Amino acid sequence: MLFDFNMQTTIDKIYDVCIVGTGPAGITLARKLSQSGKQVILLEAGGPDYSEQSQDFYECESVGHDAWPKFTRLRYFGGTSNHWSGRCRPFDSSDFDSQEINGLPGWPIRYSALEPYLREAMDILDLNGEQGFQAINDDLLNNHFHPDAFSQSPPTRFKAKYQSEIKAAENIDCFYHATAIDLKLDSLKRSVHKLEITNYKNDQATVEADKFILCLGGIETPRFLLNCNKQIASGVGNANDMVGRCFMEHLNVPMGSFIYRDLDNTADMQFYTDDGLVNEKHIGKSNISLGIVSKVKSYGRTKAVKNFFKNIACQMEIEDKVQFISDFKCPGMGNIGTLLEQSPNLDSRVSLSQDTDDLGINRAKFDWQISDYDRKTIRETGLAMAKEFNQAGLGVVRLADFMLDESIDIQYGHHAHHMGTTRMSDDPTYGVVDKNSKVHDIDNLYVAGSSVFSTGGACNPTMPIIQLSLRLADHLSG
Amino acid sequence: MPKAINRRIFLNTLFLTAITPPVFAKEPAPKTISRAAVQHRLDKLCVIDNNFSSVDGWILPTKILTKGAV
Repeated sequence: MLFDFNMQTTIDKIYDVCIVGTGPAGITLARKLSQSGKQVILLEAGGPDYSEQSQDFYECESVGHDAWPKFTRLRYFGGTSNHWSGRCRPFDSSDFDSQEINGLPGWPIRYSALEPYLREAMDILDLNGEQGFQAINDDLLNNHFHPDAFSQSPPTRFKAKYQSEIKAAENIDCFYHATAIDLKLDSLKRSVHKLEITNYKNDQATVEADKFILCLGGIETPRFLLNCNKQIASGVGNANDMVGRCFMEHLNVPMGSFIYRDLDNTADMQFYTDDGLVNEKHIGKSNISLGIVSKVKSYGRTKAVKNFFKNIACQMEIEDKVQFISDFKCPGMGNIGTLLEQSPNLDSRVSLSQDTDDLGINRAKFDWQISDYDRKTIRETGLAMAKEFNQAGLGVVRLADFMLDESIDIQYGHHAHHMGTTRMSDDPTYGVVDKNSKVHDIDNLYVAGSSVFSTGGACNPTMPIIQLSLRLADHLSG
Repeated sequence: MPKAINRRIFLNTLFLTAITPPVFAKEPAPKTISRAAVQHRLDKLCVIDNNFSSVDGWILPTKILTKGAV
């Protein structure tokens, strides 16, 4: 059933599970838990459609490297699935190999914990199960980089696909315009007793449930937990000051450009680093995209490029050759795009700003930082790829100045993937949730979504978010 | 049709062949650049490892830069 909390402000049922957030994680959990017979309440802070009033609640104070936190997420039914690109790729089993990075442990689970949910996640995301995950190019680099196999979702818009099902479900009560504002803990502060919600008119209600699941994304989930500070000053689940820490993105670094030796080759390619390079260099994983921007032949540069390849291969004085190469100003026929793994680091974090939103709740203070480990990932990956590209006879790569000169700041952007701020760890010293996604010091509070990622790999997060949500639903149904 | 020889062509031919000035009789001097200019050019070369170097960001095998195609 669907309700508007602006119209229906009384909630007197007691539910088995209260789910906060209607993005891919929240909707997946609601469907799965209702199918197992649970009475579910599903809360959405925004409305059924986009509105500026709702989106303004995502305004953050940004003090580190900017990642557009207001615009990369959507605050209405379906959440960020309303504008995701649809690229899907599961984690590798090696993503779960326990390894310490920046003094922080990796995942406390193995990939085998997620693998059983792959096929179901593919169905949810409308992926072709028969086709599976496929690469768009052959294995041309064949040393440390392999073709990246992925699958493209239409992309699935969770609102369009599942809203009518949720409306028809007898054991799901979904409320729009219901912003979660506080958790009421029991006297021992060991479990959540009630959840307080409000609409924009400040009509408030409490929700009672046996279990509570936060599915608010990598910025709002820590913001909410930190704002639940009336009974525990540091916030709920934050006994070890880990809530909001280890914010990770996937690094979008414009590494440089390339020219294929074969001027008739206009193929886009995507590669993925193999574990050998990652382990040998102690760096993060990466997806490298070679995208054609302008065909050499279309812009009258054929002669110049052919001359370039001819001259660099001929014998001449080295100083003349160096001069010739540096005089070659061809911008390249394609650009090298990247999706690089960022390592967890404590200094990259979401905390609370002094600024408040229209409901008087402290906004998120967003401080995205990369570490020396990440800088090494960027430079080593680019160099390895450039060398392998040449060795494979594909052509030549020109790397950006910051790739070779460590005194120049690296240019990097984001992929709108917010991860790690309530990371999963067996040891509460290094994480917020345990291996079952339960908040360490609270008996009935869980988190779903990419905020629980211990490490982010170099794959788009939606597929693992769905797999983890299905796993959590199984855990809570059992 | 043979090309007609006019007065200008005749005099030019006579001047450049029959009465060549000494300056044209010398071997042309080899094109040289100063040591500083050579160094300036080589400053753009950056050795990356045993096998690769970069010039202005272009990543190339060092052997190709020093010896040509190998």
